[in-house]
Amino acid sequence: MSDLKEDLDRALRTVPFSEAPVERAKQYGRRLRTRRRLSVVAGAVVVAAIVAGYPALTRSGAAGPATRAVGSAKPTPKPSAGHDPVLTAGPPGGTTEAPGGLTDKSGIVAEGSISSAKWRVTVHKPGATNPVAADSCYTVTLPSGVDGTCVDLPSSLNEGLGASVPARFTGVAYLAPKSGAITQDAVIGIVAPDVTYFIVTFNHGQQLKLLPVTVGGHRYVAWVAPASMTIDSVIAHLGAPYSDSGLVAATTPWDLPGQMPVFGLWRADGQSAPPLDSGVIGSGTADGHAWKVTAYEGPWGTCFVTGPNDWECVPVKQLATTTVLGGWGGNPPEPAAFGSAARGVALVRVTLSNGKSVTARPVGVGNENLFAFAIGKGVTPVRWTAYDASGKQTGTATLRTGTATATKSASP
Amino acid sequence: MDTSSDEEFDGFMRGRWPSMVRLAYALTGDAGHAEDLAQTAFARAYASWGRVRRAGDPDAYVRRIVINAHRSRFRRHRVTEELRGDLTDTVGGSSQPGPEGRSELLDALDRLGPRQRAVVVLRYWLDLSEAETAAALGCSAGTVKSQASRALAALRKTASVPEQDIVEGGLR
Repeated sequence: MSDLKEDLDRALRTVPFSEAPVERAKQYGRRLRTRRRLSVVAGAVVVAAIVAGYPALTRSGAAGPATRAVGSAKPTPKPSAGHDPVLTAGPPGGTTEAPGGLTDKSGIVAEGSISSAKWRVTVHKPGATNPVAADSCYTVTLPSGVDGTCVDLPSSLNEGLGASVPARFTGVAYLAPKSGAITQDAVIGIVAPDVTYFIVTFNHGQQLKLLPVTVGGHRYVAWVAPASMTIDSVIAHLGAPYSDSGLVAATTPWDLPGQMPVFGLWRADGQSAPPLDSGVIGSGTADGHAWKVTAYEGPWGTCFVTGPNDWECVPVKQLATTTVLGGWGGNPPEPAAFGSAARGVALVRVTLSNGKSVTARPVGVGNENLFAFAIGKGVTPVRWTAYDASGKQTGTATLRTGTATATKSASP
Repeated sequence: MDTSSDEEFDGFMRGRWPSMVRLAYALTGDAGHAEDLAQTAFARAYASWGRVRRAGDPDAYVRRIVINAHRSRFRRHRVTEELRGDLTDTVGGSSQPGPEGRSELLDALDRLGPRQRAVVVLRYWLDLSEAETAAALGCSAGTVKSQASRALAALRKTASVPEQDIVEGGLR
């Protein structure tokens, strides 16, 4: 250690400080969190919907009116009043061709317009000023102005990309200042090396063709669209950066009008998607509040709706095992937790961190057996035990607190 | 936020408060500003506590916010603070409340411009590399090198920083 460091250490140890103002910091922190959710100056970032692989869940955190009719076989897009704006999206003008695809020195990965209003998405390479220094992050220039917030692109999004997972998407939603409704979604995709281009199809037929642009060794596509326009599908055309092999992979997001699309499950050409189905998998009253969990199965995997603006999705084709998947530890706290049960399971008993236990009966939804149970604020599930119709115990597992992963499981 | 992570934050903030105030003080030279900066940094960490905790190094997160917040602050006050760097012996810690018995070294730090001061703190107290210091301050590694060289020379003049420790703007 240098003398200067030691001298500085010694000198700074004499700096007086008052007692840590923990409550004041928390109060201010809560205000920041609320402001993040509700206020908008040229569109504030309110939610980053990151899609990772199973068993990770994607949870919505966005405000805004839910317009889906609960109980329908598929979320039904609300017909838009009037004409949807014309969307464009494409690589920036300054791109150059490189062996790995288009590159852009300034980091701009896509530019476009919503009718005549321009938008732009820029990727910033890892650096100390990023939210996470080791990760890249991205900023969005909106029709209403520049949002200077650099949103983290977790390095985990790059893992396992290839023909079977051509891209992982994340994004931010922007709120209207007064109503709090989501006005626009900005979506960015981290793209596998073997994708030639994507075709994004919106529910009213408009399509965008997206060419990936390389920044800092990774390929990206991006678009901005009004939240009222939902996405029917994203088709990845596979091959190499400049040659389409004719092979495709498709994904259909869980996308409700006025909300962020949630992507996750890719299927190869001809591969079947989970069937469209929905059903209430649990309901009741806890602590004086009614709760209900509805599950939606479809090409997106399985999504669990616990409240008007609160859902989590598991982007897998089939949940074949017994486990508690999610529905706790969120902010604000979720009213109910949920899980999947293996075939033959008639009852699941879940032990909670407060020492109580609850039981739930799985309900069939599409290919799945799903269950839900009320969970109190600050309470986590710690263990589940499964029983068959005769009451015989068929499996048990301990849950790691704060995750949805069973650390030990027994059949089924 | 659930009770356990709330308690975790309480413990973290109580444990790390002194070192963050010291860092903020090292950067600003002002006890009041230092506590404000540190409190703001902890508040931001609390606002994203789930993510901060998952990232695995909350200490580094809060430290980065302190540095960034200070950087924005000295950008906003660039004109006045650059002038202050020119007022050699007449400006010290005397106009602002500070710790009793401040060391000669802290007085000498006060005489540096904000960027030179930040370079000294990040490079020689936090042991960041030239590249890390440059990234944290939003300048080039060359600027870090030259600012460090000037800062150390100035410190050597006014405080007892041994000359033999200084090698071309760096320390042996």
